Amino acid sequence: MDKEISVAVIAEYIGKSPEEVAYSFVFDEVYRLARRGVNVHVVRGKIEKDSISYGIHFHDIEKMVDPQALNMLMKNIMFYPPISLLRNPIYLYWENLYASNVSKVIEKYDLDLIHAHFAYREGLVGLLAKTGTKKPLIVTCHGYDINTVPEVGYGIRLRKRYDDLVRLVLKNADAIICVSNDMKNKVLKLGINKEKVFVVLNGVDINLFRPPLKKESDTLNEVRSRFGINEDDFVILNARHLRRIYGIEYIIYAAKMVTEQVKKKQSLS
Amino acid sequence: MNYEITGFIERERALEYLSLFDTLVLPSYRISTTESNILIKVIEAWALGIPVIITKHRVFLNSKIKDYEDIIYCEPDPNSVTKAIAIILANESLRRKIQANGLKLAKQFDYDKIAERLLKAFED
Repeated sequence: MDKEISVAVIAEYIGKSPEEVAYSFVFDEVYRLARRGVNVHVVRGKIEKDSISYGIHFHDIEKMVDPQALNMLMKNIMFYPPISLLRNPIYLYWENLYASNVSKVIEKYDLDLIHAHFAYREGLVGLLAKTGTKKPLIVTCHGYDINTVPEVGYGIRLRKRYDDLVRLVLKNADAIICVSNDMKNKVLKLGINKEKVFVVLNGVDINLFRPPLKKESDTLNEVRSRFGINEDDFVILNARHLRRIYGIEYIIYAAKMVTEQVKKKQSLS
Repeated sequence: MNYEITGFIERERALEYLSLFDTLVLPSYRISTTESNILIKVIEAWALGIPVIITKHRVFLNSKIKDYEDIIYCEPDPNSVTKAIAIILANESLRRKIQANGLKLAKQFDYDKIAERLLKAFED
């Protein structure tokens, strides 16, 4: 029987259950991998005790003050792009502390590969861990690490210090996963070898997100009555941050206009 | 017109809210991030059978997501959003068609399939 794949997943803020919102898209992914027999060890950037949840091993930062992390930083200092060293030294320490913990987990459990979510910070942490452990590094790019929108200050690569770090990570990763073809094209434009770039789209848990939408159920009636919504009312959802780029004002204007149209139609009939 | 800005809500409560909605409306500007990703919330709406009204972003066209079949496209403009909402509001059969097609689309994005693709990338 083939040895099962074992992977160190680097996801700084991931929760330990589907109820936790931060990095839920990563949780959903690693949960499926664990169910398929992959030996998944998630290394987080939290100060908590190690645990197993949903068949996934969670490892947290052991201690904030760690001489090994300082040693690692000293060893890696030449590895950093020069401009990226012009950052708060605490960030440099944290990256190496996190990488030191990832390396320990890889060595303790003899893991096969490293999978980091986001090119920065997790990708950089994975790269630092790769230099010590010699394990292959896979980086998934999710958006903020690749895309830039200067008009609204979106994207980590807007800052040269981080742009250089992201380029370093992508150049040295053994495989890069992008969540869309468009993002893949952007990664290729950074001079990355196309042979190592894969597209794996965002996903959905169709067991959780499925109809019937509790229509006619007590829960729906209860929720509707709580908000004073009548049975025939048409309800619109917009799930976004309240930022201008999301065009929320158009919905507000449109809602008024639709309401007027409906009233006009009703008065004519 | 009534509206509520909920702020952050827990996942369980969010699912309860989701059960209320007749349509998801996302008239975002065209910027690199909105043009390049199919948002998880859109895939979740498809899976729930909630018709989606969204700006005609490049990523949807590249993915061959069809107007009036899988989704309703709009422009980031109040008149265009009004027209799209009015169409969904008035046309029950269109709503049902988009709901049914959305459910089929969502299956392509099921995490089990995503995990398969990921494992393939690991093995390669």
